[in-house]
Amino acid sequence: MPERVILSIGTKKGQFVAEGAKTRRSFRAARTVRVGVPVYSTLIDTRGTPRIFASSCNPFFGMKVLRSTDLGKSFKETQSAPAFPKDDGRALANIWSIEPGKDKKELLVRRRARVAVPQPRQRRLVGDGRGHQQPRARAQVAPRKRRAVHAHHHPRW
Amino acid sequence: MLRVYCGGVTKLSSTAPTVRGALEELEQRHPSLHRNICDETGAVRRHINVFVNTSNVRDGEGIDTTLQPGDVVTILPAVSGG
Repeated sequence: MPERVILSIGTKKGQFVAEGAKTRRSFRAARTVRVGVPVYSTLIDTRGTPRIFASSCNPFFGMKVLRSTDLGKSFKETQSAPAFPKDDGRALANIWSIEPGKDKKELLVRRRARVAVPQPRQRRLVGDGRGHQQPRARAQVAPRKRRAVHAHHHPRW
Repeated sequence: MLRVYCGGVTKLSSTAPTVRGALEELEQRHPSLHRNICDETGAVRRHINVFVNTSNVRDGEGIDTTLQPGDVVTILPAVSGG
């Protein structure tokens, strides 16, 4: 029977780690990490020394995997993050789930791809340059294709 | 926010003839910084703006914008909130 129970919570507002007694009657949010960055999946990996993984889905700076080796006291980005091959043409749009893989290091990542589409050219202003100007309608762009992809990821720590 | 990925420095120099070349140099020298700026297709991330002097490259030739000696390339994440 464990002495305490660790709960790893991923939310749209960030990653939280809570701790409770072995009775599980109540939990206390012990640590907050990366507030403001959506965390769609988190994993307490009990293969060997317990580690906590979290997908950091930052719409500004891209998708990352965070790892904690001290049960949530601190998190560090793994040196590598799941990504499509460069010549594939797809970009990682989200990490929906992280699961343990076959060996101690492997993570199974369920991810969503974004297909790159040509960006519309600069919006031009119409009018004679005087007074109020209305922007033209945006160029037509094909809708983004989205699909989930399963992948094996061997992160570099 | 990006400085932690390049040892805390605020300025880097490059001799690349285009923004694309400068980003490729960045990928070699600071891969984790590059990953924050560009996705795996090489495109600049949606909320990251790259300026050459005072012009956003999105309003011109994109990352194929040519660079002249003395040009200043600024990488500026968008700020948003509610």
